Amino acid sequence: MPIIQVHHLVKEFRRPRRFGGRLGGLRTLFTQQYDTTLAVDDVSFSIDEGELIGYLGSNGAGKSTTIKMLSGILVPTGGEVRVGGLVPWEQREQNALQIGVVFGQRTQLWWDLPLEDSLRLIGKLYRVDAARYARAHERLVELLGLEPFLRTPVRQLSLGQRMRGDLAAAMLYEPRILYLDEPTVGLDIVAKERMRQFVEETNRERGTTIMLTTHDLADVERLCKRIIFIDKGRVLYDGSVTELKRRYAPWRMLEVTLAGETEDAVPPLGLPGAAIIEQGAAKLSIRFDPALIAVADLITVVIARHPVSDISIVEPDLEGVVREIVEAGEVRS
Amino acid sequence: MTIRANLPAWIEIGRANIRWQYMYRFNVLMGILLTGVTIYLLTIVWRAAYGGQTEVGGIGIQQTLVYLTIANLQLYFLRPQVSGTIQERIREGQIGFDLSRPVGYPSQLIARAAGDMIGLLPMVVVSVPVALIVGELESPASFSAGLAYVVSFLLAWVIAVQLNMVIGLVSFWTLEMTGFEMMYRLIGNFATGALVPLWFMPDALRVIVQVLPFQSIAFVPVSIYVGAPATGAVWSALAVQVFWAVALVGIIQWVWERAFLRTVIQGG
Ligand SMILES: Nc1ncnc2c1ncn2[C@@H]1O[C@H](COP(=O)(O)OP(=O)(O)OP(=O)(O)O)[C@@H](O)[C@H]1O
Ligand SMILES: [Mg+2]
Repeated sequence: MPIIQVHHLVKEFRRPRRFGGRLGGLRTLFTQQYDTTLAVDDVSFSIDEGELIGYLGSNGAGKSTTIKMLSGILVPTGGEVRVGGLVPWEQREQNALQIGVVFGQRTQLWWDLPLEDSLRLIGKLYRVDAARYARAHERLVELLGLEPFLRTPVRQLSLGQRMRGDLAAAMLYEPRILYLDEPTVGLDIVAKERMRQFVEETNRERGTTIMLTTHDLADVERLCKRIIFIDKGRVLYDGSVTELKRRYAPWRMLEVTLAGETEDAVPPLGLPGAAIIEQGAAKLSIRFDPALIAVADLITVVIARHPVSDISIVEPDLEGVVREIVEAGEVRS
Repeated sequence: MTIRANLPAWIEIGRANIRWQYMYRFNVLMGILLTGVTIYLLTIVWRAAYGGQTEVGGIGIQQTLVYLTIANLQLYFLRPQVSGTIQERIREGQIGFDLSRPVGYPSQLIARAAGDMIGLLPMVVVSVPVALIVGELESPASFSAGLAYVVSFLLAWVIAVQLNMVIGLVSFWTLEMTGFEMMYRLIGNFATGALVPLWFMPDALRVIVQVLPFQSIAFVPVSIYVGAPATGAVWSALAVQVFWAVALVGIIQWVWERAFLRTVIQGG
């Protein structure tokens, strides 16, 4: 049975229309006119225990809104949700014990308290007994390298340090499910890598089910087998990353560095499913379809014709695929 | 069951808030200064109102001045930050984290308020001397009046927190505080009886103030302190407070359930 089940989830935000001018506030208070936004529009999916999925979409697609409903802090307009068998916004307190949430844009830590005190408060809130607390605390401090700033008030932490603190807070009570909403936003390369490693290990070693939202597709390439792509509140794609790439970019690139420079145009390859698309001074870029020609055969032919000093295969990147999906507003089948 | 499970969390929240009181000691001291000024002004005004007489309507000037001093002194400890906290958390979009805890939000707020109050208590050593200088202080009318006052003061605290919480929960609808809170402040402040003792209010006004919960915050405990109600009346005064404390539990539950359905978590 899936650990997260979402059926026809809808969230419509309704805001009374604002009026300016004198007595505008009063009019706003008593008006019947509303501005509505359909943030999540009939979303369905299910996630199995132990999965690590990427929940993707452009700004305003409805990702955070979905996560808020799954964590039980926002009540949907329609649809059904079960998380570990619970309706999150109805069985809020029980649901809270089984989930951890990190919003990269905010912190659940207390600004005025040292990180250590924030963690202790979280431990008490989530009913972690002393022995379990000591164990989890030690593990997380080590894994996330928190030691140097444990006694520092949260307001004085750098973004990367704070984010690590937030991850520790979310994992301190060892929830079965972790929602990560843009956990790498604003981090430098080293910090991002550390974060990814932590997420990967948590998923692999503890079997924690993780739902990850990010605009950095390198996170997704590194961590997720499966993605759910939403746009304007609707699911456009739900499936594996490999399959998506296959649909959009069946091509691979063979980047060849030649031993010597040539001025002459290289003759066409004359192979099915492969073509030279660019030629530099000592470089060839060959596009090929692995379904039509085996890499080994292609390389054999190239080496037979040219003196080669280096050769590499480049996978298509998700970035281009996503750009195309967003522009088209739909996913190719 | 849930009380046992949540107790350590409440204690920890309370402890964190006690510490915050010391971080914001400037505010804490400013509060005492304001209280001192209020007591000083009230003393001047009421002396003038008595116009040199020692007694008006059977109430001695000394008793009235002691009443006003105690009322405003204790009000200093009875200004919970609950509604301000709720608004701030909503405005900053942090409310989502509070709601995502396995501990109910209203109970988190009560734990905070308790921490605030306990953190303020040591300020007695500053605020009492200030009140002694600018106002009139006396010991309670009798030993039993003093005892009843302690009980009544605790009930006053509970009701002050509850009323403040109801106002704060309304921010789930309005998102920012409107004229509503200012109106509440104005009416609420007056209706506690901390500026004008109820016994000096015209009958019609007094009847209104007596059916409102606010008098439980100042008038009820302080009139017990100065020995205004007869012994039998002390019990019924306490009963009124208990009634409001219980009724407000129901009211808060009702408002809170509806407020949650309205949660709008800003940004993210
Ligand atoms: N509290 C709110 N009141 C009104 N509209 C809202 C509210 N929160 C979100 N929205 C709207 O709902 C839509 C979805 O917002 P959401 O925050 O879920 O997007 P997102 O996918 O997380 O985007 P991003 O990648 O920018 O974080 C947006 O159009 C947003 O303006
Ligand atoms: Mg978002």
